[in-house]
Amino acid sequence: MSTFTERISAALDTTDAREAGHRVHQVVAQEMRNLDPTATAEITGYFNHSYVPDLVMQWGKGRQAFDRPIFLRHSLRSSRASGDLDNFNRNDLPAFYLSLASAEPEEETRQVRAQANEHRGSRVLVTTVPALDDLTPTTQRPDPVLGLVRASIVRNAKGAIVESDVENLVLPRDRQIEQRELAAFSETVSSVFTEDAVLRINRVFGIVEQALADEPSVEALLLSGQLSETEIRELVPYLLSLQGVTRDRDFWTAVARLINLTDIEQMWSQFADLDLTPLASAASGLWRAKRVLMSLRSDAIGVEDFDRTPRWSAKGNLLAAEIGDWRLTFANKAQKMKIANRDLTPARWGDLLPSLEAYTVTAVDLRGLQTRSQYGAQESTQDMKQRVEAFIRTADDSFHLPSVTVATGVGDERSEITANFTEMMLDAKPDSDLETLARAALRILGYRHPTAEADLTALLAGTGLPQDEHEAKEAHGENVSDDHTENGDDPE
Amino acid sequence: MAKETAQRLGYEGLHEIKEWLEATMRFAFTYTVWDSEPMCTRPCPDGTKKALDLEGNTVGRPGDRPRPVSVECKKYTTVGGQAEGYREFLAVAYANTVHMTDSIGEDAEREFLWVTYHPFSQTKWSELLTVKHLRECVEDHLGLLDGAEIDDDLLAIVAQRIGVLVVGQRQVDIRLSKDEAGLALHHLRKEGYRA
Repeated sequence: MSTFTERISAALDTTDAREAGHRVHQVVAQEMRNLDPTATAEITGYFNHSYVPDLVMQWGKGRQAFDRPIFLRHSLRSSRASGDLDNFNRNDLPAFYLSLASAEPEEETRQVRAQANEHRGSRVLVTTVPALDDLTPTTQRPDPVLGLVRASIVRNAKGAIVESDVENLVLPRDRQIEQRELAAFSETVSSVFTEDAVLRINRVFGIVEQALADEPSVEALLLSGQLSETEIRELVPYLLSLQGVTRDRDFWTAVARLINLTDIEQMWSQFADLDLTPLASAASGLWRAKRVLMSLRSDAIGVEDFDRTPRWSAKGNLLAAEIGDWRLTFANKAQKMKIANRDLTPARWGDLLPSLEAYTVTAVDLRGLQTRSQYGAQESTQDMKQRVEAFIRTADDSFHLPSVTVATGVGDERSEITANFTEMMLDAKPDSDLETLARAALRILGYRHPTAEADLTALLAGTGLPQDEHEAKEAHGENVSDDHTENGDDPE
Repeated sequence: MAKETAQRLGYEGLHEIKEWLEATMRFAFTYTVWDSEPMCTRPCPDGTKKALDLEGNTVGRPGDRPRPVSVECKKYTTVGGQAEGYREFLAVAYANTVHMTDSIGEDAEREFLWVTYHPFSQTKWSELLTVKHLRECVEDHLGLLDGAEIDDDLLAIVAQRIGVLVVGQRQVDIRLSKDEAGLALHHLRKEGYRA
């Protein structure tokens, strides 16, 4: 593949000035999008104009919208003559000046560097095409630190990036980093990126370091805030597919705190084909969803040697957990999950009741042969089980339950979860954590086909099944699924 | 060409004129001769290549086709050699128009501007843009046409595309600031104005 410098030289290789502009705009726009795929590039049609940028890079919409103008110049000398360096005096301009020249006189780079060093608070960037060449990955192996550095150049680089400055930003791929290289990296990152980008790059650097440590130190990580889209894209798939990555629960919980379920849903394609178990299991007490669809894994039923190891993955654009013969699909907004079923079999009260023991039942929908009744508690703390039981006993009818609502949690964590048997769907109001929802789905919606507590424990712990014990029980003909009600934890 | 380059305005001087012209909102210059001499060079039928100072185009109103523009800049404090230089400039303007029309098959409607900080040929000032004067200049440099006949209709057309702008430093200094011009052009772009 040709370098950025070579592509610019080829684009300029014409005698038609307008054509040169058109071609260069396409090459620069492509390079900027390669560096930061979250950005869009508007080409203005002006080439090397004093006042109108050649491209306007854009991110976000509405209040989150951010623009950065890119001015193309034929050389650093030309940029200086245009007065671009004077803009280092200003802290309100995010202008990005890019010299197209394939080489620059040393005196020019010295002047640019001197101006940038005098005005470290400025957001103006002066750089050159050859300087950015060194950011091109030389292998297919992902490197989240380099990925984030590359992506941050377009939006967050400032000061002067000239000559071989970028070499300091590219750490050895084998991660055998010498102190000297680390010092140069830190110093260069601090001088050429805005404060928030420096924090993000250092955070990803720290996470990657700890991911490969024998005993990861969560304290060493910068764990405030949320990961940006770029950080998630660069870091999380890398960690999930990294050979020898730590299984340390505290580490993965710390990473999960920086992400939420919406991020996974929006960036689902980044996670396709990846085993999300280390991350999602650690997140099961953190990430919150509003809706869960429960479905039987038809490919697993009746297949003895089917791998039933509980695991998390991205199915379509949603997070899913596979456990036993079930698949649970989670959505953080109700509208993201369409109702697939409407006419499945309602529950029978008597059969369901043992599964409700651990819950406060706040509402039931009773459908009889002659009547239909809805029982709801005035207070969400009031358990309706005995009243429902009494009503069914005395009523001259035979009832099914299309749905039942239970309350879980306390205080801010309190949530009412409606299990709809005809749709095999849970709806939580407000949302609830994945662990609570998974437990409610398996116990209540899946009451006819119970799941072993060991399976649920393994799903939430992100560990494999305790194979020996599991297989031993199966060998003795013991129904490993039956023990879940005895060992079940109180979800409240 | 070497002599021509030696007399050129420096980078800063050329950029000052570039900014001043672009602040009118009527022009967009892609190259100075310092950026690329070949890009600023106008060829003539006899093979002569004349490097001018700025290469760009007009900023078109919505629906207008931007037209190419060449500019020669003179930051003189005296008349200097402008009289003869301007005569050659006119001859090149006509010869280049002939050459480009012949080579690309259509007239690109290129404009030629002479921008100076000091007036010249003041006794003939009112004639500098006339067809008659243009013809005289072309006849003085007839070799540029490589034997082609002078076309009176084309002379009249090219004369319309010549401009002489005399500027003072104060005039340049009161141009819109970068922020102001950027803002104005931002809105013009939104209205469909294009370079």
